[in-house]
Amino acid sequence: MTIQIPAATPHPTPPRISRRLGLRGWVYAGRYPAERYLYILHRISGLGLILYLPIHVWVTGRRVAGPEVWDQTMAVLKHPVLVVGEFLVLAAFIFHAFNGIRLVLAHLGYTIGRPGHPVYPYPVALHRQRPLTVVLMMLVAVFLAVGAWEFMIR
Amino acid sequence: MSATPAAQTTDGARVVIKVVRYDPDKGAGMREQTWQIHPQPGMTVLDALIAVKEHHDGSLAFRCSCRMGVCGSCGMMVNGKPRLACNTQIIELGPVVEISALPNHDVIKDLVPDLASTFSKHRAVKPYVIRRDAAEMDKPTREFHQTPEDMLGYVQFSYCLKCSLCLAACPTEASTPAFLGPQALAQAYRYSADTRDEGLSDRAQTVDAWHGVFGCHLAGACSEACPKGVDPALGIQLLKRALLFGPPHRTAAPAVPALPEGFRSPGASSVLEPPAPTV
Amino acid sequence: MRESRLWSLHLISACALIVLLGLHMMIMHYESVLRWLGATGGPALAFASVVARDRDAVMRALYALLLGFALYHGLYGARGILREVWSSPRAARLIDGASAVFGVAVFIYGVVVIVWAGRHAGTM
Repeated sequence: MTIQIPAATPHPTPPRISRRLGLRGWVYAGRYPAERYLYILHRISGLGLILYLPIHVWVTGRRVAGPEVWDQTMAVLKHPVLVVGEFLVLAAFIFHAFNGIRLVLAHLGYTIGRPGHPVYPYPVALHRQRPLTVVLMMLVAVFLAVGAWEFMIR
Repeated sequence: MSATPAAQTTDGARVVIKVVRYDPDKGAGMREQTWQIHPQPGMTVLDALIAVKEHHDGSLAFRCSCRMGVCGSCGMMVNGKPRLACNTQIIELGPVVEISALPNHDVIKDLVPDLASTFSKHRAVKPYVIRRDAAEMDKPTREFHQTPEDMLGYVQFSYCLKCSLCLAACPTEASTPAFLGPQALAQAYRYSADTRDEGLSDRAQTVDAWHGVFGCHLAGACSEACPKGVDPALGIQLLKRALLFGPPHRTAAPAVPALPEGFRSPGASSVLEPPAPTV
Repeated sequence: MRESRLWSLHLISACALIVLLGLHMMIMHYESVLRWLGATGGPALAFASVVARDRDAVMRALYALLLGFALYHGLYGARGILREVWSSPRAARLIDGASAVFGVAVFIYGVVVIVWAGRHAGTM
């Protein structure tokens, strides 16, 4: 006698709930060290710069309309809100450039150490790069301070 | 609440365990539930969850197995960081312990994440040694040689538990389900850097993409979260370098050594057969 | 084109921009520092200075390079961010295409302005 084994009744998959953080996960997803947040600052500064660029190309293109139009354009740009905006563009570039130096070096495999045997407490690549990160952030602060002073005396 | 069995406590203080729960049979989203326990010396978060399940609420669901940090089953979010519950001491967490399922994963129930997508991403990068000679791969005729220096080039990445804590920490993984994730990419490097492997170009078809290795922007949270020191961030940057400049430098020793002069190989089929019985 | 080629161009343009855009920012925003280092000439944004830069062939070439590298680097980054928000294959094609078209359009506009201004500098 062969035993008839009934085909398994397919279980309905119980509903799953998603814990995907979405864009909020870019900004904050838990207690992580500084590089996790330097990453989002790098994105924000980069987005600011690329959004500014086409406007800048158009505004500086006004020079083809002659000196009077140029001087008018420069006068408009002296509005306090736009001056602050211009400083923010400079700040974004300074941060993005110096942090970018760190990223270019890391992406090419420099300053992040070599693989080895993991021995607790585990040294990770970004810890090895931390001295460079600190120096670069100090340079950012210096350039920002001088830039701010230049804006104020202009 | 029923009392825990009598045992030594550290200072009589209770610890509050807050768990974000989800019951698929009831639906209705996630809710928080709180219990108090007496911390015992050496108690881990996993011990606390087992105590809750034993004495307070038997329906609490979580994965665990080895309880010593080598299987990767008990990954969950504990006080703002993804950790292995068995590897985390209660006394270092303070009076309130907030536990929830790993972010960036679907939750099956309570603290049980659905890791199927993690495993399928891992499979997608071909996590095995690939040799150009298919016959040699299927029926090897002799052993590989590898110097200790060659092994150092990849051994730390081989400690991966597939616990998925790194995917919970990764910001790209948060927004982009299609991203391969630090675990798969680090394993792609582990095999590509292995001197026995010749498959970097095979894996390049999968990892040389925006949702592959170039979706990593060096936030570094994956390496912070990793409980075994695998440092996937290092592996991913080295993989980028390998895609541009070729696999890392190997020592001169060939992986498959030449046979000595006059040696007659027993033949491919007998290498893997057991010896004849003698009794 | 393989992604690693596009990405290495992103890194190359990053290095070029540190130099080119750094120089541009120094001229525009660090005038006192430059004067202290010995630079001469009128204020950078006076029309006469603008015309002087338009006349100089080397400056025109550098500006064209700056524009090209900046557009490539910036739009590659923006395209990456958009592709992480919308990750379907159809969205990928749309985002890639739109970024390329927009970049080429702005580059052509900028180069046309540079060439025209170079020809007519001082006669406007």
